[in-house]
Amino acid sequence: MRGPNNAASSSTSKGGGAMAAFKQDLLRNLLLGLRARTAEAACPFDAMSLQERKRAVKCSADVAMAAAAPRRASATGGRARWPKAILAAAAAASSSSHSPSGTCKVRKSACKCKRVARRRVDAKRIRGYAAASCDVARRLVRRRTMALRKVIPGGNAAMDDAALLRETMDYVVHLRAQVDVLRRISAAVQISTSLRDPSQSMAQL
Amino acid sequence: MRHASPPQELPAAGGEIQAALAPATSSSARAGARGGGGGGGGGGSFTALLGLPTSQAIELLLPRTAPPPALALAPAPAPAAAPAPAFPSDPHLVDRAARFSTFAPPSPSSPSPAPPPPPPPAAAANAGKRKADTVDRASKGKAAKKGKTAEEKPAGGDGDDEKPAYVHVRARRGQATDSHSLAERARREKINARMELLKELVPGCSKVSGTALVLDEIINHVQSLQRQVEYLSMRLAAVNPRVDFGGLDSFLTTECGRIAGFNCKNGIDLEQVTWPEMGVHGARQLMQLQQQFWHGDLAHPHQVASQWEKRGDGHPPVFSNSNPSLFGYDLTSSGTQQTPATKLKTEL
Repeated sequence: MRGPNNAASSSTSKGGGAMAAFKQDLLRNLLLGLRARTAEAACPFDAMSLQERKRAVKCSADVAMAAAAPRRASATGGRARWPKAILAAAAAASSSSHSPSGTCKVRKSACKCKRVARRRVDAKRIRGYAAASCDVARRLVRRRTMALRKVIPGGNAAMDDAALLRETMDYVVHLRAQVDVLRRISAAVQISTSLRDPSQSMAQL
Repeated sequence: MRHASPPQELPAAGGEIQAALAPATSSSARAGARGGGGGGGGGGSFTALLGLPTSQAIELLLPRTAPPPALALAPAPAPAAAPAPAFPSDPHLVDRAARFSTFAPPSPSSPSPAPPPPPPPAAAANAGKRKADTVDRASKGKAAKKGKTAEEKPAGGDGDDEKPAYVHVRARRGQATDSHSLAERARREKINARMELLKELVPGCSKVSGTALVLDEIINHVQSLQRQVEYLSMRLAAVNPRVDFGGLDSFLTTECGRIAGFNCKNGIDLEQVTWPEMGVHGARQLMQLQQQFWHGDLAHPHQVASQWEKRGDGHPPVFSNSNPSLFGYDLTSSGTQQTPATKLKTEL
């Protein structure tokens, strides 16, 4: 039926109202962020390479999502952690210039590799006595949990599994909304550029 | 759908629990020896439940109106439950989680369901977990073999009547009954409840059984969403140099940030307002470019309403379904990473 039913996830129809507001906030933040970035950037938008532009857009989209999210969370007790993680990463990246952001990423992945390696060593040691099916399953689940922590921003903080799953749910919902907003924006941009050029060509005709 | 009843009956249950716990805290001295773990006095904690007499404990631990074990989709429910949740399905996630957990912590009414239930069980469960992790592998294994529905508790209660008098939490049949394993089980049930909710959220997970596979699916889904974000941002970045971004900004925010299509009705308004700015011939041009795109309806404005209704019926994300030629992906299908990438290559 009509009405605010274009929720980000196809399953939540009642959340459509809340998500629409979030999407609007996200959009506004994104536009502000992009405009600020182009205005203040050392190099103008045209001069940056595609990769840098993409990274700038993605970063501002993530920051916009993180900034728009807690508006809901603070009302009911704000437990989502990933926005802070994203904002912290972005602040760390932007306070220094562009190259340390690459090193930050490297450092993060190094820590993750170390942790994974440590777990693998433990597993090999334990594997000596019993490969019970439940242990194997538990090991698999633990590996998946660690992989999930890598994917979710801020997942590496000391959180138990339940909190991690809650973060995941929150993050998935907001991520879907972000994808939706970005899709609409890029479509709108496409339309505007296509209108601009053909209208000029038509004017010439 | 039963969405009307849960928000009402949970506060009722919470009231009952609180009433029952008030006398219970006086008798918690008895349980102090056993239930030592979390903060016993803190109203509605796990250990206070331990101090309850048997019948009350059973009443509290059993869900009030036994919800069907099979979860329907989380979300259908009431706009009445709308006091700005943290994320859209939040109150109901917590309702479900609370209902599926071993003990029902005294959760106040739905507006703030979140903070009270997780901290007390988390505190008690964490205390129990730290002690239990090194010890309770065996009991965990046993517990994993039993089911996890709350309805099994009466059966467990029959077999466990010979326990010492002051341990009143029902354990399942043949299980260790010390507070560590109970806390473990509570934590496990909380995790399982959240896994259920995640399974609903992530498309394609409901058929998969087993925690590892479901986690796999979740990870894949999150990664695919992140890749979509990257792809879309690259797309935006690719188009941008040719666009005066300030102009685009005004175009997008003409309707106070209400980008068209967020709301079907608003979308129609935006169309009818902004297109005069662009020029009608531009709209026709657009129609030739994209047939099904929502802008393309403009040549027949009187038909827009019917188009919206037809589209709005079955397609919540209007944008994503309306232009297969350009995007070709769908929020519900996860395996569509290739098509956007190839389309980008062809277009660039």
